[in-house]
Amino acid sequence: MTSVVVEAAKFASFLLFLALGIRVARSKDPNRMRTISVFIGFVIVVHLFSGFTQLDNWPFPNHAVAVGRGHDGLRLPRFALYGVDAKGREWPLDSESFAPVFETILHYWLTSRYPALSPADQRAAEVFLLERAEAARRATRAGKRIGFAARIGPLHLPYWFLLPPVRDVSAEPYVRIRFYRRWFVPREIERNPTAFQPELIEEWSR
Amino acid sequence: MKEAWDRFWFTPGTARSARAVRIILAVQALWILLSRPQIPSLTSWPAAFFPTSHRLEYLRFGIVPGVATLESGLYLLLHIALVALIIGVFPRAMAAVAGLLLYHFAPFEEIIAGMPHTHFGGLTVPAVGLLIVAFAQRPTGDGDQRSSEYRWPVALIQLVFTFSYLFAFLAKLRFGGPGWFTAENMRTYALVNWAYAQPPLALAVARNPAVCWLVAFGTLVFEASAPLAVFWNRFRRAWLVAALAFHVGIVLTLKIFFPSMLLLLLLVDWDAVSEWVRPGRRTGRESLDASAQQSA
Repeated sequence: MTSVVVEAAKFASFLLFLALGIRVARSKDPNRMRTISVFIGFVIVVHLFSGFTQLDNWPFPNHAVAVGRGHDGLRLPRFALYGVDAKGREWPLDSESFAPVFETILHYWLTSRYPALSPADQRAAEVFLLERAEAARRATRAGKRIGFAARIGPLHLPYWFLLPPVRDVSAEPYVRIRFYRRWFVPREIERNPTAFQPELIEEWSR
Repeated sequence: MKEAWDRFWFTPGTARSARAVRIILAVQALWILLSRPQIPSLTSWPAAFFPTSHRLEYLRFGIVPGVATLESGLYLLLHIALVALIIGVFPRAMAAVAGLLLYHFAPFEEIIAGMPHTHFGGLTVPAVGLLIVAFAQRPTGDGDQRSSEYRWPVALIQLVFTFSYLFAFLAKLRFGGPGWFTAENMRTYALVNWAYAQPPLALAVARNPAVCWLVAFGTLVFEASAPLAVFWNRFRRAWLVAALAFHVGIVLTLKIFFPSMLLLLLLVDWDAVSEWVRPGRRTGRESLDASAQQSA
């Protein structure tokens, strides 16, 4: 019920934005300036509401990014997906293998929504993701561009998180995907960039 | 209060500035779309990615699974509308089409995960801004033509853009508290992102407490003061320089790129640029001054 009310309120705010804007488009003197002022006021207020309450209401968002606070002794997780070939060798997957969904967004999905799916739905998602990883592997082996560079190549606007591309891929097909949580402590990483403790979360095969 | 409001929003602006804002928004959106060609294909993903428990989220943006062909057609239409906007063909109608389609497509990248940072993807200001362009009067005549109708949409879009910085500051305060703006936290961010992407300056920054304090304080001042750049012309130039340094610094220290960097051009005084490019040519400002002297 709460979700229905929240989604309805968010949609209503966008509809009101459109309605007030159309009113501006159709208004004429002598009330036009007042009509425009009401529209401007609404745009400002609907944005400030999101900004000060930090309740996201895209396209009037809260712009919450990089809000975490910590210290260098915290134990933090870094998620990672690997393709596994028939010989059991692991290969890191490129972050744009599942475009339009970036790797870190897929991590969000895997840790928040995937666990709530039925076994049948989980299986369907696993098979799909394995097929997508394999398609990206084949394309990379063939020298084709994958992900966001597919259409305009080096002129493309990169994703906001500039993770290094993966160019070294398996010559053999992937038969599994492994999803890891790799624990690290920032001050230990500073001394040793390989100081991760991997924890296997999920493993999927065909 | 009313006089100040009317003076800010309705002092005549030039057709040049209004057209510049329209073109900047359209170029930004088109560049992103060309860099995200797979977006329409999301609706062909298995139904498992669109559970019914979240269907209201999808419906709010008109996202319905299983219609990839239709989505591809709409995506192509969006490209056409943006090109038309750039070259000035039916700008109000194309702005309306583009704004509504951006509202539909922008959430695609993150909708399966609940849109944790869709606002950062680069299409938010174009979606809202192009709808504002559609509602406003179309600039006619040469670039020096002045009207209050050309001023208010430009100022409003600029303000919406600066909200992305102000609200990022408020978010840090809300979720991290004042302690977000400390050297310890900046060091942690640098080291965490070093673990992910090995940014070239991450370790150097993390190991220098003075630089970390400078970054923390600079972030606070820069983000919190962003809307002033809309209201205060002299401050705007300094803020724009700081913005460039801020974003370049973040790329080098955190490997985080701001997809909306092109939108910093929204705050450029295009009338001043026009005067600098073509000196001696009368701009709207000089024409007004000359007319005033003749009248006197």
